[in-house]
Amino acid sequence: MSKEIKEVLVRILRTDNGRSWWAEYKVPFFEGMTVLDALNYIRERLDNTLAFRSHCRMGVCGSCAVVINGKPRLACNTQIARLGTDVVELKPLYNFPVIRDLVVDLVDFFNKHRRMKPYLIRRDVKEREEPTREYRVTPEEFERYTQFTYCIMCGACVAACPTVSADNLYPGPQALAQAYRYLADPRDEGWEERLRIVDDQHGVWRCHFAGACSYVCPKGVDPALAIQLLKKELFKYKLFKRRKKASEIVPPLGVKAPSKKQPPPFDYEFNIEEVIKYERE
Amino acid sequence: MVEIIDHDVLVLGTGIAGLRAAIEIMRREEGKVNVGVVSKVAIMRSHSVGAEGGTAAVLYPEEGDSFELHAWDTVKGSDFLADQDVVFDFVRAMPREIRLLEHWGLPWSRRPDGRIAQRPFGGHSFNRATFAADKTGFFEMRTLYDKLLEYDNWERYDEYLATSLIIEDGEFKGFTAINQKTGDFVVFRGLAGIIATGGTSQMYKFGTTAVGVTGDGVAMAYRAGIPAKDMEFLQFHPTGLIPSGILLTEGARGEGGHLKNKNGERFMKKYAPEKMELAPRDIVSRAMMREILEGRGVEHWSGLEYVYIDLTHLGEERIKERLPLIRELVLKFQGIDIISEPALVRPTAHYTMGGIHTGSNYQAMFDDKTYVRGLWAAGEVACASLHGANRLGTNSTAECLYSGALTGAQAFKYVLSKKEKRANPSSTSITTFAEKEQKRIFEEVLGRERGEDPYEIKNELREMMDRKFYVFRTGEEMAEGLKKIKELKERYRKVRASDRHKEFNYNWLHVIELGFLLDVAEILATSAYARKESRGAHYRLDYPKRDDKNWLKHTLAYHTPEGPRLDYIPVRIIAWKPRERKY
Amino acid sequence: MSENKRKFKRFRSGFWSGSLNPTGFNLERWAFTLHRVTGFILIAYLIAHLLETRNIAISPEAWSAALGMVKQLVGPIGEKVGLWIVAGCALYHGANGIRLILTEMFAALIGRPRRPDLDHKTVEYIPFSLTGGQRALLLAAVIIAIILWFVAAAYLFSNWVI
Repeated sequence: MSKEIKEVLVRILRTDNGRSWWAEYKVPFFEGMTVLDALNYIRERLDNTLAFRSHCRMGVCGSCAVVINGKPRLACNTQIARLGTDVVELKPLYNFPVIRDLVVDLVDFFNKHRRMKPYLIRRDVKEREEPTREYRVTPEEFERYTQFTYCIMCGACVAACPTVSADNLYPGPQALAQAYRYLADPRDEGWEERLRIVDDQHGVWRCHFAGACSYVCPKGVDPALAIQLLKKELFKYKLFKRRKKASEIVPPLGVKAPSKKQPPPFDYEFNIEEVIKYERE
Repeated sequence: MVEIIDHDVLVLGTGIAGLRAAIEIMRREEGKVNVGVVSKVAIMRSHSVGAEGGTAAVLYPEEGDSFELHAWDTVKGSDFLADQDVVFDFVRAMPREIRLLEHWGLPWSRRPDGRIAQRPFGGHSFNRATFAADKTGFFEMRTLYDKLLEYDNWERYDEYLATSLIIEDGEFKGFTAINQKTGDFVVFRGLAGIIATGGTSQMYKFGTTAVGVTGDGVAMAYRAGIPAKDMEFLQFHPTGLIPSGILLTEGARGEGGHLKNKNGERFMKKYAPEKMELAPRDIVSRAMMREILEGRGVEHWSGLEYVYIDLTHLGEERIKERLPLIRELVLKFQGIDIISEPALVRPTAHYTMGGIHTGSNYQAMFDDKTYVRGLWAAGEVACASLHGANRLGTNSTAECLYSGALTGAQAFKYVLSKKEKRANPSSTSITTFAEKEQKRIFEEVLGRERGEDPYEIKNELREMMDRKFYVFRTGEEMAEGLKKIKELKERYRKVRASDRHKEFNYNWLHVIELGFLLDVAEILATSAYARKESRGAHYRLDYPKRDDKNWLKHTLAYHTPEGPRLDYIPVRIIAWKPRERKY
Repeated sequence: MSENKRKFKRFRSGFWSGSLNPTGFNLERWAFTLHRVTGFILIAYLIAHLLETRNIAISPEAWSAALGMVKQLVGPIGEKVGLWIVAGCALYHGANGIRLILTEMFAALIGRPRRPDLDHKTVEYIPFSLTGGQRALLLAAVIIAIILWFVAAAYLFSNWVI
């Protein structure tokens, strides 16, 4: 921006009880100002009735996802100086039902995620509940799935996806990327169940690689990549019906090195088991 | 007619501690006990996702670590105010928690041979901070939430703000809450309750926490008759970015960052010659503030003064592999790339060592001997005094996991024994209490025609706390601060919310949270003014020495209409006597 | 806990404005929109063509009547322009379709998963699947379709016979 910005015009699409209108506010600008700072200023000084979500202020919780100048982004992560204009237009996220102003309803979004069984499935129940040592994961296997664990469930990808607008039953890029994250995890053994869930008329085959989900993701999760890799896995599975074995536990560390540092000796005699048992009676 | 929702166990708060407690209840014989999980934000948004550093555990005793060493580090770091029986039980339970999380899918960072990696951290004498690519809290929340989705017998109540606890005859009965989506008033009724609502650091304007961390649990328990313990100890994390207060993790110092003042010298060798930047947080914060007060800090356009943290000598590869999140944060919020330039930091309000008074099993207590039947506290809000007067880094996420598992197990056993007797909670007393509470919230706040602006009161409170109750405190300033808090409380009696909607009325919710904040600030001010010594995070310029003869005790604050009434209980020492603390 | 969702105004963008409006988004979404629009045009042409050529089976007079009707509606130049547009649609739809088969079935040229925060060149994250090899494939498909479209123009509007 070559010229100095002194004041920013913020236009918000507000909704209340079925009625929508555009409201305009003028907000003074300071260096390093984010869209969330502007919204807080409006709510505290200009108009107390504005409703929007915000929590962490640093881009890790995902509450403040709104549509800024046509693109779904996080409000706390977007600097106004980088937008290139001094008119900021805010709308609630597309493809979600609106409750009031910029607050949308997320119940459906969380339910679709739950349908994908997004947890580690493993057959050896005894080892899972009473762990002895960790499962082995080499650095190459680590890189294969870690990118998709960064998802903060903000809803921006679902707002940008054209298939979600057209189809109510489509799980959305967020749920499908999480299904692939657990599929690619070398410790997981539940690929058959998950592949059967996504292999559906309204499942992964509705994606046509528009790529808008990866374009707007604030954490770089790249759900479009996850979905295309998921399709390839599904294709291979249907043809060959084979899969690699899951990770195993690491062997015990045999060596016992002497302690370099020692705590000072105890001042009193005690037996920790008896102390705890006495207090928990 | 007020809506009543019944569950066996109610978990209030969905950070790491709350989710771990809910999972522990579901893991044991699934289907027997049903759980209601209540939170005032949606389920993945709690502030635990901001935790960055790691979780401490003794994973490799074969390589030279030991439980006694971890316990000694914790006790010495707490300035000998920690209750040592809790510390010993805590260090023995941590390795199992780490391996359980790994089996549930958490991507801990690994060594080249496939085992879990650990890195050095401030205050620990062995590299025992287990980390997951410098977003440890986020991954732990994610894994716990995904694991909870496996079970069926639980219900989620997102965006319900709890307003008061119902405690009758020394027993927990339930709590009242507001449904943010519709503006309705509901009463949750349960046989057992676990409070895990988090800390109180939003009292300070320059702080690391999210907007919703307002000390709800402490204030609700305080008003219900349960004392608040050790509230004067509030930790100031040394490296917070200016001007917003966002955290720059201690892992930066753990990887080898250097703190430098205006002249470019590493000033930590004057204050902690052996450990330098890896000394505990209170020592580093005081060193930085002393440099700033003696004129060796740099002035920023927002009025705050800062010092530098230099990471340029680590090299590009190491920063990109181990500290990617803070590189992104500094780039976004200050416009500086830490590979080539130092970042600008200052001590910021971070963690509340105090909280609800509990015993060593994290069950809430009224005083030294009487337990509250059916109520537990877990996580940052509880003070079984594991951290004493100062907390070591990476011990807080560890405490959340440990206390969550412990309280979940105890609540499960308690509910099973109560269900056999099937005692019906009496309905009449709950409805009268609920109607009184409803009148207080709806009419007194929402019904007024003219009144004070809540945002002005909140701003004045936060700026005053920043000036008067910061790293260095003196008697006269604290007395002035206490007077100002009492004046703000008088003004709060006439506050008014001007928004009249029923759905998502954030104005009204902020007024209720401001009430909690004022109560907690009053407790902090009173306890800090009364403690005439310096210990851990509480440092007074007029009493700069630690006084073990008179002040080796915990402060308890009880609720009275005029202000908090203070009482003291002794510290439980079973292994090490207090001695001089030098690093 | 049943929430009454019917009360809240539905802000779903709907089929037409939500899925077919790519302003402000990336190249691949423009490609998707064009693919869908050309698909509609091709289906419409297919139905019209079938309706027209089934007249051959009825009688030779019906066939010439149908041909005459088309010439009367749009004129001789209009008929050729219409055919050219349909040819362009088919070429683009086919080229993009081949690109989609390669990237969706065989995961060709879309890159491999790698942690996005390891290599910050800009403040915003760069999604690797939308840059690199896949973008080159998209541009190659579009350029080949345009070149063949001009060849089709040369064939239709001149006396050149293959």
